[in-house]
Amino acid sequence: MNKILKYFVAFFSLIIIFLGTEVTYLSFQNKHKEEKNIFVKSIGLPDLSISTEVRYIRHRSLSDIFSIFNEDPVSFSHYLTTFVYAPSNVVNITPNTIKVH
Amino acid sequence: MKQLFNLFLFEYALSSLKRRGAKNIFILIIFFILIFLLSCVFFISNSIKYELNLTLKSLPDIVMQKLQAGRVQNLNIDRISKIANIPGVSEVTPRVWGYYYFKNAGVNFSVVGVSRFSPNYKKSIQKIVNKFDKKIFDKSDTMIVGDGVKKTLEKNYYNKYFDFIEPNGGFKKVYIAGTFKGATSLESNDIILLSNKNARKIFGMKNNEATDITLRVPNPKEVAKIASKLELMYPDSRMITKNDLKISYNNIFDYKSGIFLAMFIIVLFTFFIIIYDKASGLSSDEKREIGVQKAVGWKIGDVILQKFYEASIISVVSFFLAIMFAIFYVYILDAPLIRDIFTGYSILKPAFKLPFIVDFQTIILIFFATVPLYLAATIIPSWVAATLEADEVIR
Amino acid sequence: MINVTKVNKVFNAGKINQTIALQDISFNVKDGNLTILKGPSGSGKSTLLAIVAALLKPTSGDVEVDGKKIAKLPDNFASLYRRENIGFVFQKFNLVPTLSVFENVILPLIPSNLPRVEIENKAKKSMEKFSIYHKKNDLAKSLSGGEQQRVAIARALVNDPKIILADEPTANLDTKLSTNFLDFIKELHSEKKTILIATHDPIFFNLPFVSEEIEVIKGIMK
Repeated sequence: MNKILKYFVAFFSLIIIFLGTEVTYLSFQNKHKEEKNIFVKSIGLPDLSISTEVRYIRHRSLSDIFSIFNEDPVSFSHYLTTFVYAPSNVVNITPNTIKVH
Repeated sequence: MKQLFNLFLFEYALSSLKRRGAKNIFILIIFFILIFLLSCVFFISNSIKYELNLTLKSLPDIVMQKLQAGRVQNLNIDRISKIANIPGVSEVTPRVWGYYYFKNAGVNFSVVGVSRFSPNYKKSIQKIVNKFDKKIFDKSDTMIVGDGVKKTLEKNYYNKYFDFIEPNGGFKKVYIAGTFKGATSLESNDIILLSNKNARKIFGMKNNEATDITLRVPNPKEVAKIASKLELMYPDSRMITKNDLKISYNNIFDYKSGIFLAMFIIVLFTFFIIIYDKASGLSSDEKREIGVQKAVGWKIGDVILQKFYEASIISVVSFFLAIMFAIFYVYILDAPLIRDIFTGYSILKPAFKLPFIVDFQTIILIFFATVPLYLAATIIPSWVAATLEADEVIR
Repeated sequence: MINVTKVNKVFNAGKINQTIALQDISFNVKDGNLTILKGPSGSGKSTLLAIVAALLKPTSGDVEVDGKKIAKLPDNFASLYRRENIGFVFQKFNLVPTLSVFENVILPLIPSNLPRVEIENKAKKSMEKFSIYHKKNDLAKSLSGGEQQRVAIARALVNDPKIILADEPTANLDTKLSTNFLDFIKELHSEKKTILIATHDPIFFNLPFVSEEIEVIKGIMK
């Protein structure tokens, strides 16, 4: 084996060893399956507790059915796009386009 | 085997990579970033889905809600006896739950009522509660709260109890009997668990009212049938089955990874430019080298094999390196920055400890989406150059 | 034994820049003989050598080496033929500048997938023979012209070929180094190699050990 091949083999096996250790270490970690199931069973509500400011995202499937459509799809709470593109201001104005002749 | 692997040729490929070091390191880095970001997104969204699906089986099979004028309303609990008579339904429970808006912090808590603590229930609750104070718990006005709730309350100087504001303006003092274990944080962070009686008081509900009714149906094949039966019995109701929940889970996180992947398009473009550059031809140096190789007796296959080794070294090394770092980043460092895309903006941040799963399907998908593309882009032009007449060297 | 019969080579046939490089060339070189192809530059000597080495295919005519027709060999067989029979010393040496001397010398051996010891022995023997072994780890581009040529010869001979082809081997060397090269050729000749040298350097003319001199002018044999 020449030098560069030795370096390469050493480097590559280092990656593999590290990957292997990582995977074994992580897969022996307790996933708390039982606790989580007991918890969900005693609460009975779905979803993860993220985005708690908006009630139709927390337990979204059980929340009221229309409020999720009240806002424009680009609005902040469930879409990330608002920092580049703001929701239209028309969204909160009841449209009044019917004109009486 | 002897034909397939030639150690000397492999060494030659390695030193050839080293000779064009700067360029190859650049490709390696782009390749690394590409696979790293791809796998991070997939790992996170897969883990969240796994977490959700892990507990899916513990959820009620059917949730029944009442709609009035298109809005969800409280329902009367006299429906229970009628529903319990449907064959196939093993358990019917009225539930009281809802959101409590805590103005000082601008946060919604999820308040969940339970029928006051039967001994069986107490036992299972004890398994998931930290710092459990039995003395307080046995008193009537107590609650168990999630980590996030506890922290928010402490910030507002509620260390031992909390004053809920009732709809009529009165205060309801409830003592904290314990907090849920950190392991359940992703589910329990914003939860307040107290008795049905107190929950009704806080929400201003009548004693014969419930938020919704949950059903247990032991045979999963009967769920749809029973749901449609209930809809006939109560046309004002909305049925949510476990399967609906599963679909809604998948939707939201698929869609979030979609947004991320859209942002990631720049890296993809860089990758494609590299591939285009590779595929559109070799430098004159490289062509000349191939000419020399052919002149001293290399076959087309040998030249291609060398290029194959080179491309495999680059792509396989960066692939493994990226997977290694992605696992480290997502599961050990808990994905700083990228996790915000998935959790969104939130005052009550849960401890974001994702369950580790090796998703071979995803890894294989990422592998086949990137590596063969690069291999082909490297090998095809070399093949073209190698099949031309090797007379360039004699000029 | 190299038999060349009625070889023609036309570049860019049918196009406006069509050039006739070789016209009806016929000659033969017996085993162990040293033959000089002489003529001014641009007369088609190099093209002829390339055809003998199966680097180029003649437009018409035949080339036979040891009874095997090589004029129309498919590419892979041509490579194999070169690897086993031909040692080619190019005019510009054609070393890979960024490789070390050792790597340049073993270049023809790499695809053969021989055991390491065997490859290293062969390379060492060849490098020692042309006294370049002490520079084995230097990059080819850092060598002087004479050293580069010795590497090129070492590479050409590392496979122990029967036939050695040299294309203007002294064009880039001064007189002293050219004389050195002549010594190498003499030595190879004494080892019964078949040698074909294309050159216009008068140093090769009228040498006692040259068996034949063939003159090519504007693609036509004199």
